[in-house]
Amino acid sequence: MKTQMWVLVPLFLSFVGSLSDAKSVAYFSPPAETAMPDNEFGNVVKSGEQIFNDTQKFAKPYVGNSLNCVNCHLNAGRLANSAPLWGAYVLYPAYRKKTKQVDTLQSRIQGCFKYSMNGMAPAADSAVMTALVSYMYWLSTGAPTGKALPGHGYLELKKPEREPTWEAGKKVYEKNCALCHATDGSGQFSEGKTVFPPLWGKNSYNWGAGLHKINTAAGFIKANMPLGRGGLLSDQEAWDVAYFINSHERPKDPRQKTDIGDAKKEFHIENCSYGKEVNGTQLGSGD
Amino acid sequence: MMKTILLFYFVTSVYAHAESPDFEVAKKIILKGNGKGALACMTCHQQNGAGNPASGFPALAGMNAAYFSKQIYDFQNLQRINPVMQPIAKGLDENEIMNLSAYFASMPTNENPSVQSSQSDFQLGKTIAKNGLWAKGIPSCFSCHGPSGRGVGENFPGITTQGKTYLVRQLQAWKKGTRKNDPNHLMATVAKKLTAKEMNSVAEYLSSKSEVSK
Repeated sequence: MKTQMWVLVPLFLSFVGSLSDAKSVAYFSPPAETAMPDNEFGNVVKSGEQIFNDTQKFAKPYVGNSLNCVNCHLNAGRLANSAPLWGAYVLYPAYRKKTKQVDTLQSRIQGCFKYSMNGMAPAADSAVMTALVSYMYWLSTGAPTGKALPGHGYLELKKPEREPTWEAGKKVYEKNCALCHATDGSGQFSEGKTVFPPLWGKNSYNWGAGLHKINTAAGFIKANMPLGRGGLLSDQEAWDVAYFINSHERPKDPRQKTDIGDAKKEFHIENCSYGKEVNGTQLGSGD
Repeated sequence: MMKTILLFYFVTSVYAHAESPDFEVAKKIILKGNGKGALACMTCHQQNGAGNPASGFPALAGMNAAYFSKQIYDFQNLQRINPVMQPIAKGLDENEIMNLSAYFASMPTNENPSVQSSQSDFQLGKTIAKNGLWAKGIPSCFSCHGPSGRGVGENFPGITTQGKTYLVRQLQAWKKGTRKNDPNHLMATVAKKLTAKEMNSVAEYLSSKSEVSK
């Protein structure tokens, strides 16, 4: 039975740096959407999936920007190397350096809403939280608890040969990203829905989100961008463009108690542009 | 009587002029051509821009103006190959292209007749359109062409506004490399991974507009 949970996915990203030695990688295979149970539990799982894919519509009170969960967790949270939900579900509760405490799955998801969605955290016993956790649980059917599965989280890229620069990143951005995410990073919308998410500015993730870290963004970009052409950019290009995107202003870090300097010391020691002066202004003000 | 007719003509032409000064140029080309190589658009695309789904002539009604213009220029410059459109595009000047693009963009889109065939699987088509085939690295159609496939901006045209035959032909052309005017090879990359059955299936789903809106 156990072998059925695993599929050998031909590695279409075979040129991805960190995985280049492998011809194929065994990724966990979550159940098909059609296998969702047709009962009371299935209804809540379905609701979780809807919240996940269209957070703007189904969890609006908790969202403060134009993003949906699925923007960073591609294919409804199923895709390996795109922080898949089945990869995260089995790793909680866990101690996290970010919060300096053991986070439950619920408190981890609350973090997503506070930072990535720049909104308000739904209560641990709220309907939205129950639905999301149920969806994650169901997607993880058969996954081993406590095991870091291949493809969990985002790719970890080796440090680039050259320090990333604004100029190099801008070039990569204009050539590969602006087409969809707009030259000013504001994204594109259609029929009132976010199609290509804003990457910086007031409608994007805030300075506390995981993706504001340059290494995290570089890993996501390398494996997944441009959409449908993951692996196209070199590691250096992924680092450069991640640096460029994350060296723009975005909503304020909600953890900032006094000034940017204090918040930088406490929360932004490495891998980010928070508090740095870029093009004449200090980043982090949220304006 | 003559006076009334003249007055009517005067009023309507002034009205049309004030409302949309450039549309008259477009309307004339659509109905009669321009006498310089551009045949009447309506011959293949119909007066209402609905195209001819059975013959595979695309709908132009509601098409993004910048996307439309780019296609005409690409036909002119042989960046997009089509023996019928090549001479027609070459017969159009910049001003005519601009007027046509604005006029077609202003037209409401039309319903497509649903065409089902034995070489396709409607459910598979629906899955590709809405979820993608990620095991092959293929994102969903709607993740770029909009939540109901009606197009996004100037680079991602409407696809649920087209007929099945046109969609299949384009997918085949992207796959074969006979069409390659997509920005950053985004569409070619996807099409090259699709099988004939997947193409037929997704085109069938997309062209069944009443189904997509469900």
